[in-house]
Amino acid sequence: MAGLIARRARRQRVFRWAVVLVLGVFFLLPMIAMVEFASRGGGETWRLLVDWPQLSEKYPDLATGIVASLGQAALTALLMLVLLVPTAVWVRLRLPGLRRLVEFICLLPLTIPAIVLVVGLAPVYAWVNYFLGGSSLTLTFAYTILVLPYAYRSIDTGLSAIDVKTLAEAARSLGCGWATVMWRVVLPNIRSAVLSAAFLTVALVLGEFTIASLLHRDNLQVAIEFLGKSSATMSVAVSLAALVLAFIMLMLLSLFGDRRKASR
Amino acid sequence: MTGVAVHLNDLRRTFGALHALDGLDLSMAPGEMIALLGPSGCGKTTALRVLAGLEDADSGRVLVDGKDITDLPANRRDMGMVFQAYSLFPHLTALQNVEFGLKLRGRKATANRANEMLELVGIGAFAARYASQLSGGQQQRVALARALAIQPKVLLLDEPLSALDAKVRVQLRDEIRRIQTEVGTTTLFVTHDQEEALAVADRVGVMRSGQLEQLAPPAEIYLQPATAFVADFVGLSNRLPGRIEDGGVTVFGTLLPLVTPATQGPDVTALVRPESVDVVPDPDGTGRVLTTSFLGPTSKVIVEVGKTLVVAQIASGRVGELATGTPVRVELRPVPVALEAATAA
Amino acid sequence: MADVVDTPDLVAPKPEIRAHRRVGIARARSLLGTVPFFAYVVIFLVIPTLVVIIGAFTGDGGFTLANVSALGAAYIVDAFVRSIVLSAVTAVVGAVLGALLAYALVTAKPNGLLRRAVTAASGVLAQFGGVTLAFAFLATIGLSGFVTVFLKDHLGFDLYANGVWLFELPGLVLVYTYFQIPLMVIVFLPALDGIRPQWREATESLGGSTWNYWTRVAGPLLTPAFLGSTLLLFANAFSAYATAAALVSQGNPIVPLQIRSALTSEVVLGQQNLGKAMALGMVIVVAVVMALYALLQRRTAKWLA
Repeated sequence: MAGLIARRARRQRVFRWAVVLVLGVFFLLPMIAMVEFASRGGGETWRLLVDWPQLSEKYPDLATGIVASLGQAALTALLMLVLLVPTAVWVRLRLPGLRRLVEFICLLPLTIPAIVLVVGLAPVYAWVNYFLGGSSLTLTFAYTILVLPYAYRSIDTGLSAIDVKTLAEAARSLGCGWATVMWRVVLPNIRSAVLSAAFLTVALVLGEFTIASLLHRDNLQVAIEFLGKSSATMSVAVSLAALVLAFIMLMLLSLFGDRRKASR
Repeated sequence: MTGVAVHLNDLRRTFGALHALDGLDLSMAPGEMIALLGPSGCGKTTALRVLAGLEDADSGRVLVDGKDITDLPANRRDMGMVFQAYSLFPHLTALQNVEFGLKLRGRKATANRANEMLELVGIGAFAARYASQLSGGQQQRVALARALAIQPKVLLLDEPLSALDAKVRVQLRDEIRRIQTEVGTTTLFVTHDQEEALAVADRVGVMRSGQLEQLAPPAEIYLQPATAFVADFVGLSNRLPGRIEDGGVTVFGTLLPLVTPATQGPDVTALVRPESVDVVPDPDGTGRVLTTSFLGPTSKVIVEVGKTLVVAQIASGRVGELATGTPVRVELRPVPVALEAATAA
Repeated sequence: MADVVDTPDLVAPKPEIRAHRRVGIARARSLLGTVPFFAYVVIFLVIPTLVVIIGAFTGDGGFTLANVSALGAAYIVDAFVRSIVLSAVTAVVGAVLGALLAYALVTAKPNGLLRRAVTAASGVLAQFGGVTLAFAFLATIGLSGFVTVFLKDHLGFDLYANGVWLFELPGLVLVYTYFQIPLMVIVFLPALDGIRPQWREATESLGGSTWNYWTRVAGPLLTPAFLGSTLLLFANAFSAYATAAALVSQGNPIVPLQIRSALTSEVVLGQQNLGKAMALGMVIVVAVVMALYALLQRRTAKWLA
C-alpha cells in the first residue's frame, strides 16, 4: 500500500483539472461565440475592423469613440501619475501621519459606485464645461478618481518594496534636494509599480461606460453600445477586439511583473 | 510512561537524481533521545518525515514497538510532532491547541490534562493566549505540550529551535531534555546545530547524503569521530600536515594516536581539535602569533607555522603573553585524531 | 546701544523657540506638498458625494425628507429587493465556484503554468464587465447567439420557449457570474496561500483525518476570508451598472437602472433628487458591506498573513 501521499497528490490533480476544465469551458464559450458571431457575413467585419479609413467612414461614431477613449486613457494615466506618485512619496517621507488618511481616501472610490458618483458629478461638470468646454477628454478628471484605488495600491506596494525612507535619507545625506530625490532616486526604482498602475488605468478607462454614458460624452464603450443598435456583428467584433487588447495588456503586465521579480 | 523501540530499516528515497535517503538503518532504544545531525540535504528531515508518515519511502521498513507501520497513514501512527515554524493553530488558544489531539480521540475533561501539559513545559500561565500573543520560544513549548498530551509512542522534533534566538535556544534545549527524560518517550530530534545535538541527545547520528556516518554518544562523536566528515562537521578541526609512522601520525614533531587505523600514507592531513593545541611562547619557536580572539572563558589564538594556519583554544588568562607577532611553539596533546580522506590526485 | 542690549525682548528669541518655529514652518511646507492631491480629491470626489447626500434631503423648499420617504414606493422597494437578490445570488455562486477554482490553483505548483495563466486570466476577466460582456453573452446565448442556434438546430431545444430571460434578472445573474468568479479567485487566493502545510501535518500527526482537518482547522481559518470575499462580491454586483444598462432595455429592474431613469428623465427637479436619494441608499448599503468586509479582512490577516 505504498504511496499514500502519492495517491493523495494524484486525487488532487484529477480534481484540479476537472474544475479548471469545466470552468474553462464556461469562460471560453462567450469568446468563441464572439468570434463566430462577428465572422458571420463572410469575414467582412474583420476586414473592416483593420481598415481605419473605411471604418471611420462607415461608422463615424465608433471612430470618434475609439479616438476619445485613447485620449482619455493617455490623459488619465498621465494625470494619475502626476497627482499620485509625488503625493504617495511625499506622504511617506515627510508626513507619515497622513498616510492612513491618504490611503482611506484612495480606497474610497471602491465604496462609492460609479453610478452614484456620476449623480454627484453632474453639477461639478457643469463648472468644468464652463471653464474647459464639453469635450469628452474632460472625463479624465472623473476617471482619475475611479482609478485611485488600483493605482494607489500598486504604487504603495512598489514604495514598500524599496524602503523609500532609507533611500531618501541616504540621498539627502549626500546632499540631494527633494526634487532630485523624487526624480532621480525614487522614481527609477518604482518603475514597475508605476507601469503597473498605468496599465491598470488604461484597462479601466477603456472599459468604462457608466460615467461617459450618463454625462453624455463619447467613449469606446458608449460607441459600442450605440453601434449595437444598428450593427450587431460590428459591435461584437469591436467588443472582442477591445477585450483582446485589454487581455494582452494585462498579460504583458503580469509577465513583466514576473520578470522583474525574477531578476531581483 | 515508558518508551518503545523504533527501527528504520534500509530506507531509500530518491527525488529525481537526488538520493535523500540511501539505505538508512537506525535503531532507537525505548525512551532514548537520538539527535540526527547533518548539513542541509543530508536526509535527516526526510528520515523524520518518513517515520512520521508524512512522506513515503521508496523502499525499506519502519517498525515501532515491534509492529511494521510502513503502510500506516500518518494519522494512525500515534506520534507527536513539533515543527520548526508555524507549529500552532492560529485560531486556537494555547490550551485549545494542546486539547486538540485529545478532543480528536473523544476524551472528556481535556482541559485538565491540557493544563497539566502546559505546566510541564513551563507556561501554565499562558493557557488563554493565542499564537500571535506568544513569543517563538513560548509557541514551541505549547507545540511540545500538544505533542505530548496524546501520550505518543514516538516524539518527533523537526529542528524545533532553529527559528529561535540564540539565548532562547540554549534555554529551551535544556528544557526539552528535562521534559523528555521525565516523560520517557522515545524521541528523534533533527537539527543542523551540532552544539545542540551534542547537548541534548543520548546518541547522535551524523548523516550525510542519505546515510548515517556515525551513531554514538555525544562524547564519542566528538572525541572519536569515525570518519573525517564527522570530525570536520562536529566541532572545529585544524587540517595539519602529518606523516604516518609507528601506527600513529606525527604532526609538528608529536606522535598522535589514530582513531581508526590508517589506510593511506605516508603523507596525510590530520584533523586536530583546537583545544588539543597548546601555544607556548618560545623565542626559538617555529610559529608566530597572528591574532587572538577573546571568547569569554577561552580564547582563540591563530598561529602561523610556516605556511599553515593553526587555530588553538586556550584559557583566556594566558592570552596576555601571546601578543601578535610573538614567536611561539605549538604543542599537541596526544589525543586520537582522524585523518582527512585522501583525495584523488 | 546699551538700551538694546539691556532689553532682551528686542533680541532674537531663544534657540528652542526658534527651533519650534522652524519645525512648524517645515511642517507647513510639507503639508503644502499634498495640497494638489487633496484639492483634486475634494473637487471630484468629496463634492460629488456631498451633492448626493445633500441633494437626497433637498426639495423644492429646502431640507425635506420627502425624497427619502419616496424611496418607500413599491417600484423602488422592488428595485432594491431585486438588486439585493441579484447581488446576493451572484455573490454566493461566484464565491463557491471561485473558491473551488482557487483551491484547485493552490494545489498546483506555485510557479507553474496553470496557476499563473489562470491567475492572469482572472485578473483580466474580473475587470471585463459592462458593455463588452453584455455583447459577448448576446453573441453566445442571445436570440441569434451561437449556443441558442446550436441548441435549436441540433437538439431541438428552444432556450427562450418561456420568454426571453436573458434580458431579465435570471440573465443578469448568469452574466454577472462571469466576472464574479474571477474576482473571487483574485480576492480569496491570498487567504488560501496563507494556510501553512504544517497545520495539515500537525492535524494528521495528532490523529486527525481529512474531515477533521477541514472542519476543525482549515474551515474555521478560512471562514472569515470566505465571508469577506463574498461580501466584496456582493458590493461589486450591487454597484454594477454598465452590464445591466447594455442588456436590459425594457424597464429598470435594479437600482442602478432606476437611478439612470431618474437622471435622464425630463421631468422636474424632484425626480433628480429622488435619484440622489436612491444613490444615497446605494452608498449606505455598499458602505455597510465594505465595513464588514474590512473587519473580516483584519481577522484573516491576523491568522493567515
